[in-house]
Order: sequence, then C-alpha cells, then structure tokens
Amino acid sequence: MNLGPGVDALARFLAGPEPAWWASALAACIVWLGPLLLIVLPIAALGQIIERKVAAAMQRRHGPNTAGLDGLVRFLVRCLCWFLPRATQERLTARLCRLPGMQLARRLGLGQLVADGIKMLGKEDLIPGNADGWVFRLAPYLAMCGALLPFAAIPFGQHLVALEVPVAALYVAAAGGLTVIALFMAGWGSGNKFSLLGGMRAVAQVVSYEIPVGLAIAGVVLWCGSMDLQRIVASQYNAHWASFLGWNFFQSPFLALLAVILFVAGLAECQRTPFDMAEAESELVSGFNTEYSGLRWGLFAMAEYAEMFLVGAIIATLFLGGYQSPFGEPAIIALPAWLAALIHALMLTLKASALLFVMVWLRWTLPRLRVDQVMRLCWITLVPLALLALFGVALTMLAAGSVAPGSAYGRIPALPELHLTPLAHALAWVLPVAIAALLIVLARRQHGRLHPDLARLSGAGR
Amino acid sequence: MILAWINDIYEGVASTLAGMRLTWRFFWENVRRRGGATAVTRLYPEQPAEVVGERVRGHLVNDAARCIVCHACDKACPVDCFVMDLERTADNKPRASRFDIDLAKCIYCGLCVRACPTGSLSMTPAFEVEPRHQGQPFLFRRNSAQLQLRLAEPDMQRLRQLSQLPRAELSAEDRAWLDSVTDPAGEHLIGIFGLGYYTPEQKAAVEAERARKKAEAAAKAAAAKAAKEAAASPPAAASAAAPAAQASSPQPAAPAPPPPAS
Ligand code: SF4
Ligand code: SF4
Repeated sequence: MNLGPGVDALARFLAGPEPAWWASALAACIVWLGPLLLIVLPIAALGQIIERKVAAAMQRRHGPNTAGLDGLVRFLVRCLCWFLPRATQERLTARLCRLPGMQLARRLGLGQLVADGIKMLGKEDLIPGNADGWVFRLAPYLAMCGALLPFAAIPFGQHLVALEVPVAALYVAAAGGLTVIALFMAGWGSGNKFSLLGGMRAVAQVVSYEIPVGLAIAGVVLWCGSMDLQRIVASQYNAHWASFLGWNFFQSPFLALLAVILFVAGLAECQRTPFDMAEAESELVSGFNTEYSGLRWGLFAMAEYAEMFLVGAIIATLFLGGYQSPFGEPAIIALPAWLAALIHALMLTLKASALLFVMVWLRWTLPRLRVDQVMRLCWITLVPLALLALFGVALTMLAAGSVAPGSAYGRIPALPELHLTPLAHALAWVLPVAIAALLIVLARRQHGRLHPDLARLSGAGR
Repeated sequence: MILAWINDIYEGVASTLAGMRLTWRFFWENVRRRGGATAVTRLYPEQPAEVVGERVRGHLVNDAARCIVCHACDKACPVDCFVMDLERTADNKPRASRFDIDLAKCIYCGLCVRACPTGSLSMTPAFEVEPRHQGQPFLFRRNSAQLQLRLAEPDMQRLRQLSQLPRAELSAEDRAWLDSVTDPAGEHLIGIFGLGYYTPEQKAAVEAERARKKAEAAAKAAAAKAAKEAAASPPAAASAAAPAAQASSPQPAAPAPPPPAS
C-alpha cells in the first residue's frame, strides 16, 4: 500500500516488510492524527487565549483571563503529598506558586482553560426529548472532523505534511465543506425551531461563501499552475534574502485582492462575528448551539478555533509563502532537515496566528451583520470582485507571457514559473492600482462622502 | 451604477478600518500599560466593587420592634430564606424571638419586602459578602445544625462584638463560644441584623429615614388637602369646573355586552 513514506515506514516497523491492512490503517491513524492532535488542539487553546486577551484589551474590560494555576497546584499537592502535615503542604504550594512559569500562567489566564475544561467535562450531557438521536449526537464530531481533516493536506514543512496529494487545494476546500453538514445536522437534530433556523442560516451562509473561497483558490491555482499545496508553497520561493518578495500576495494586486476575499469569506465560513448570525445569541438563543451542553458544546467551540486557525493556515499557504520564513529562506533551507522543519512549522503557526489575531480584532470591532447583509456582501461584492480579480490574474499572466523553468525548492522539483522582469512586476502593480484609485476617486466624486461619525473616527475629517 | 458599487465597497472598507483603528487604540493602550490597565470593569473578588445606585437591592434588614411574625415574608419568598420563631411579650404582643434570613440563599428579589404588612422588613444597599472587603462584619456563616440555634439579645451583642475582632485577639473561651455558634465553612450566610438586633447606628439611620419619609408624605397629604379645599371653597369656580369635569371624564356608556350564549 502506498500511503506516504511515513505511514509505510511505520507500518513496516509494526508488522514486518509486507504489512497487513490493519497495520497500515493503524500507522495511518498514528501518522496522520498524531500531528493533528499535537498541533491543532494546543492551537484551539492558543486561539482561546488570544481571543480572551485581545477581547479584554479592545473592549477595555477584564475578561475571564486572570486565573492562574495556583488552585490546581494546591489541589495536586494535597492529593500527591497527603502524608505531609498541612503546614508543609502549604509551604510547598507557596514555593511552587512562586516559580516564574506560574506568574506567566497567571498573566495568560491558563487556569481559566483548565477550569473551563473541567467544567465542560463535568456538565450534564443533555439530549432534548424530541432531538433526532444520532443526528444530534454525531454533529459535533463531524464539525470537529470538518475542522481537522483539511489540516492533513496543509504542509507545515518540507516533510511535515500528512497527506501529499496532487489536488490538495481541492481537498482542503472539499473537506472543509464538511462543517456545513455538521451545522445543519446540529440544527435539524436539536428538534428546536431556533436551532433549525440557525442551522438553515448557517447552511445558506457557508454554501454561498464557498464560491468566493473557490474563486480565490482558483486564482492561486491558475497563477502557480498546480493544485499541490507543496508546489504552491515551493513556487513562492525566492532566493533573495528578503524572501517575502516571492510570496503570491506581493506578485500582483489581483492576488492580494484574492487573499483579502479569501480572508473575509473564510471568516464567514467559520461563522465568526460579524458573520455569526447563524448562532446569533440575541435572536436565536445561539442557533444550532442551543441544545448542546458539556463536551459536545465544547467540541463545537474547539472546532471553531481549529477552523479559524485553518483559514489562517490556508491563506498563509496560498498567499503568504506557506511555511517559508519572510527573511533568509535560502539559509533556512540549507539547515539540517529537523531544524528547518521546526522553523518552518513555527513560521506557519505564527502566520496563521497573526491572521487569527486579525479575525479576533474584527470580531471585537464589528457588530453582527443581518441575514440580507451577509448575502449581499457575498453575492454583490465578493463574488464579482473575485471574478474580476481572477480575470485580472489571467490577464497579468497573458501580458507577462514568457514562462521560465523556475528553481527547485528543497526536495520539491522545479515548476515552470511565470517570468516577470522587475519592470513588468512594477507595472503589474502600478497599473491595476492606478485604475482602481481612479475609479474610487470618480465614485467618491459622484456619490456622497463618508458618514461624519466615521470620518471623525478614521481621522479623515480633520 | 458601477461607480455606486465601488463607492459602496470603499465605504464598507473605510468604515471597517475606522472601527479597527478605534479598537486598536484601546488594545495598544492596554498592552502598553500592562494588561487591563485602562479597563473600566473590576476584577471583583480581588478589587472592591462599588454600589451601583442608591436603589440597589442589597442585604435585608428586619426592624424586630415592628415585626409581628406573621410569616407573610416567609410565604412570599421563592427560596425559603426565613427561619423565625414567635414569642409573646408581657402584654401579649407577638414578637420574634428569632428571625434569621439565610442570605446565602437569598436572590434579592425583594418580594418579602413587598409582602411585609408592617413595613418592618427592608433592603439596605449593603451587598458585600466577600470577607476581604466587608467594612463591618455583620455577616456570619452557620452550618445546618447551628441554624437551629437561638441566641438571646445579650448573646447577639457578644457575637457582634466578637466577630468584629481578629481571631488572634480572642480569648480561648470566646473563641470556643464563637466556634460553637458559627461555622466559617457553613453553607448558611446569616446577617446579624437579619435577626432583628442590628447595630444602634444602623437602627438610627433606618429610623431617621423612616421619619423623613413619613414627614414628607404627611406634608404632601396636607398640601393636597389644602389645594382641594382651596378649589372647593369658591362656589363659582366649583360650578364652572363641574361640567368640564363631567365632559372630560368618560361616562360608562352602554351596558356591557351580554355574555355569549353558551
Ligand atoms: S429578597 Fe431574598 S429573602 Fe426576600 S423574598 Fe426574595 S429571596 Fe426571599
Ligand atoms: S418581617 Fe414583616 S412579613 Fe415578615 S414576619 Fe415580620 S411582619 Fe411579617
């Protein structure tokens, strides 16, 4: 069986040179799921910390994010050192709580995560009387699958990819689409009108926003000439020390526009504010979440963060050089493989986290959109813009004309690349931006000005 | 049309960016001054909280002198906070020999205050339960067995005095007595004034407030009476006002429609 080098090696290690099917399956589970759980679950925790901290700071309030681990330490000391006298236990606890790490834990509010976890596990797992039994029970796991499966194809480094398929870009979009089914199952299975409405809204929204997502991915696929995410990352390699110049985002304004569109549409796919009308607390009492409690609800929450991180990782992979470092990539490639892999994984995590930060930032800035506004944004703004940008990408490629053999990137062979001279590159940026600026100026002339409040806030009025 | 579309997009992006700028400013302020420095909220148990308004519904007070132990508050309470016992005074007046309000159960709904026929039960703005910030420790905890304990007035005085002192300053005997009537880990939170024997200052304050309200009401009633009399005395004015009053007040015109035949 050919399931990738890592899986085959592990299967052979488990069950000899000709591994049985079960050994292959087991190896696949370990190799594919292991990194997922190791990387993605801490990411969900990281996402929560970012969310809480940023939300608190942006809204000028203290969030539930100042709990340290002192209580946990005291509990553990009580449990593990029960034979010591109480005073000694207290001294030990105090000593442990003064460790520098504990201070950091308090600053980060790590205790809150532990408390939330315990609370979630301890809650009653309620299933409403007229819920559709297994549909209701299955939905959270499916949501988690929808958030985790795409990670299998996202390269975290030259060798750090679970599933190397030639159509990875398509796979990521398709596997991510699983969440829709989960949301709808949750809405339907709850046997509750509000949940059903939430589920319907979620489906309408996510299915609509698949289109700008697809168009944005198509633009990159067109530009790079491959659907293999590894190759897409490789094609963004630049031998210059400022290696970020090779990233797709900086290649053409159309690609940059596509990146923004992908970001907005991705935000909508995660059901995050401002696109969270599917779980609008004020109107739908949390929509499809209403009837969930305990661990099942926790899975939905975790899936949300995993999905946000996924959107960040996809955008980073397609437009921001994937796991490449913005500076000195050639030097990193030359490092020993394990060190390079470490740096690469860190880079992708950093980029995705930065995008996650922007998502949180947006969440705590914008109010929730109405249903019609969400649909309007998708069909009247994003889809035509994405089509325009796609057309622009194709036009740029036509104008650029010549195709160069490109350069190999690590173990990934060279891909024929578009050859842009610096002049052509500059022109590819200046021309569309100038046209857009001209159109905007014309539009501003003809149609009113910014609302005075907004003008004041943005500083444009002064 | 295309230009309107572009203008729409421009405004959307510009207003989003304007909002992001604002939130970024708050964010940056907080980051620069170390976590939550400019926050307008409080970390409550660590930082003392403030009373929000004067009409806030806080801990309950019972003026034992006026309580007739009618159990109206007990019946009104949705969570059964009250424990009370009746005794008769020498001239056969009802009086509470014990009146406990379990403030740990209380949801501060105020229903008992409305139910009280004598107006002896009222709410104070005090709400602090967190021992770290209690100005005057008028609350103590009891376990279920201790909840059945009765304390006579002198014992209440002693409890109030002892519970105000740091534990280390108590004599062994006092400490033992305090431990027998209270339990720091007990699940019932009882206000000392909840027993009807609240501190003289509190009593004075409540009484002064009541007197003020009474005087106000009396003044109002007197003013209303005077105005009425003034309106009634000149007969010309009265006869002129009468038809107007008749015209303005709608008469119960047609009789009520007959009940539908069953
Ligand atoms: S205010 Fe407290 S004691 Fe009074 S009725 Fe409500 S719950 Fe009961
Ligand atoms: S506090 Fe008021 S309602 Fe309650 S027993 Fe006394 S008089 Fe009756």
